[in-house]
Amino acid sequence: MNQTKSTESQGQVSAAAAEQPQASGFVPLESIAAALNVPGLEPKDVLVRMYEDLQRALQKPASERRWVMVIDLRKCVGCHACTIACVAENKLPPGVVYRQVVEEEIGTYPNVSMRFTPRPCLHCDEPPCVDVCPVSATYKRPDGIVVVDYDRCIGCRYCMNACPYNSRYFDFGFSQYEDTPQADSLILGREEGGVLETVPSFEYGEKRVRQREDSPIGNVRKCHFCLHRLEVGELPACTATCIGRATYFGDSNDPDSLVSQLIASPNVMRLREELGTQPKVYYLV
Amino acid sequence: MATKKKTAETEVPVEAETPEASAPVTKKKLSPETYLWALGLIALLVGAYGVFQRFTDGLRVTDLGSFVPWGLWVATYEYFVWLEVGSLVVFTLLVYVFRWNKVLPGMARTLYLTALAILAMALILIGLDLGHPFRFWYVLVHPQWGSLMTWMIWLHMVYMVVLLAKLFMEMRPETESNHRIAAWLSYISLPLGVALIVVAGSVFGVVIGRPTWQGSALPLYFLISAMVAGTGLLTFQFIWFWPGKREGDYLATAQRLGWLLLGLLIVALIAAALGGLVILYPGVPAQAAALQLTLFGPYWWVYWVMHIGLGVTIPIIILLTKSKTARRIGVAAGILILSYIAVPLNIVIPPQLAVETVEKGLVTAYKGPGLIADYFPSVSEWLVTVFALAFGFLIFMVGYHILWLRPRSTDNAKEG
Repeated sequence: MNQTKSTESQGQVSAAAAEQPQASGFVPLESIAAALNVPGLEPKDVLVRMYEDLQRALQKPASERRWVMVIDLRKCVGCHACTIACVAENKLPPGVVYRQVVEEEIGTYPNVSMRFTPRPCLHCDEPPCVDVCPVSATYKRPDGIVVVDYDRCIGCRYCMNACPYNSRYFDFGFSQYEDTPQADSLILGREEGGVLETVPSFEYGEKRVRQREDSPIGNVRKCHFCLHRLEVGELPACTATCIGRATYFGDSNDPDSLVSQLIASPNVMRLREELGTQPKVYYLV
Repeated sequence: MATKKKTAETEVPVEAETPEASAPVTKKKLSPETYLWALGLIALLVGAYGVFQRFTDGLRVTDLGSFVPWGLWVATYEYFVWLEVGSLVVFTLLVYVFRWNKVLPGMARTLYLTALAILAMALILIGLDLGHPFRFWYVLVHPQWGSLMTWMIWLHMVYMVVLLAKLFMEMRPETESNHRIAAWLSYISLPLGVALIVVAGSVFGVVIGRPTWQGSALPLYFLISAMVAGTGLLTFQFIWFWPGKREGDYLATAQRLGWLLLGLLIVALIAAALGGLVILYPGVPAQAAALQLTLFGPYWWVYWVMHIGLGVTIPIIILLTKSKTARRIGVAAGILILSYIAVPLNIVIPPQLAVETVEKGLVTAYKGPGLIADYFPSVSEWLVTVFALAFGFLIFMVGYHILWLRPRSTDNAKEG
């Protein structure tokens, strides 16, 4: 069964590669994969496969999708590209972060190693943050993504204390360019730089300009798996940007998806599983 | 204008030569009441600057952050709930259940007025703590009944209505039917008040994100603490405001209140010690870290000086002395009311500071304002708290001095 699938997918890739052998740049990887015939080694760039998985998932009704993220801790090199991509994609202000990378030093000198753990919202299937919201401003969508309705949120911050993973951040209204120098001789100063902050963010598929004391200022904010990108068939910014291909994303309700295969592996774990919150972010260790 | 001024200047020596003026001038002494009004108004004005900052710059003016999202205002809100509801629950229990009805029922008006003033202070603080204060009404129109915060807010609103009704009934003439309605309102307010305190504690107890809060201990501890703070307030008010200080029942009631306060204080101390030991003995870091911070952290003095020293030890010593005058009992209650705020402060803040114990490296993973696990109230937070206190104080002054919501006793009736 696996062999059949593998042959089929190799055939598809070969056909695609034959169409654009030079532009794609994936041919050498395929060749290596085919030559080595290593089980588990993907015959094409995982990004391409995840895009295909995404397209397939979007054909289904939202309630039949179950978005999950898989992070391979063995591959993460701690470059923080995902953090920066997320900040840029969602125009996050100072003090708000959706995906930081926790760095841990293990051992004592000279036997020291580093462990990097990217930490987005884990989009729990049993989210403790949702039940505590007094106005239903935060809720789980049919596809499992936990979101915040900025126009409903009153900013009580109860969900922040309820989240056992500290994955929620409050937008206090800080600005990147506030208190930065401004002079005629400067090419880019407070005024010019500040213009960037008036560019709307497309979070949640909205076109929202972050203005003084208006939402999302005064709201709790969190990772939403780049919902606005998913809805147009794009992967979350962190996944698309990961230089080590350590982050995977897809629909776990699709048995043929990459993430489904990855979370079926024995070396998978989730954070604080003992709580029973059923996070939808898995770690490969 | 210039002519007028000149005339006034020339008139002064003439007045000085009059026999009345040459007599020793007796300056009209300002009453303590005037000083209190002035103090309240000045505090309100000073605090108003903090409120202005809060509205112009948002919650940036606080020292709150994403790891410590609740601070002074939430802790003070909880304390005000203890005082406001606790005092009325104790009062209702004593008067309507244990039938202490010689002099204590006369305190009803002043006590309800105080509760209303404290309620206003609590609502100001919790309202300004919201990221969007003007959306507070969403809880009323879009309630999510699965959240204990919804229950807390609704219970507080209903409690406010009952309290206003009780105060209204107390302002009406004493007739049999009015008395009956007031009694029924008290019976309603008793379970309502207990529910509000327990739910306020449960708001913390159900939170899995802060392991020290999680569990069934806090709702019960809130109830015990509210009884202590409430009895303290009732005792202080009775001793301070009861007009018939020469009545025999005055000292007897004051002493009984003193014994009650002493008993409750000891119960609260035992409960706190048991709760603390249960957490400290196994020493599970996620739970114990917060308590160790409370006991030995940078703000150790909040626990040892304010809570244990001023809030517990001194009142217990005073209340145990043999020559127990009403004044001494009042002093003990007053010290307790002022220092017992340390208890909610230590419940609310240290468990949030211990985030790094739960997940090492999370706090240092990303830099930015508000991304630290440290907290000490900012100047603006203190100013807003002063504003709330002054606002409540002025409500009390209006009620006490203008609406004459004073204790009803035989002496008072004579004065009236």
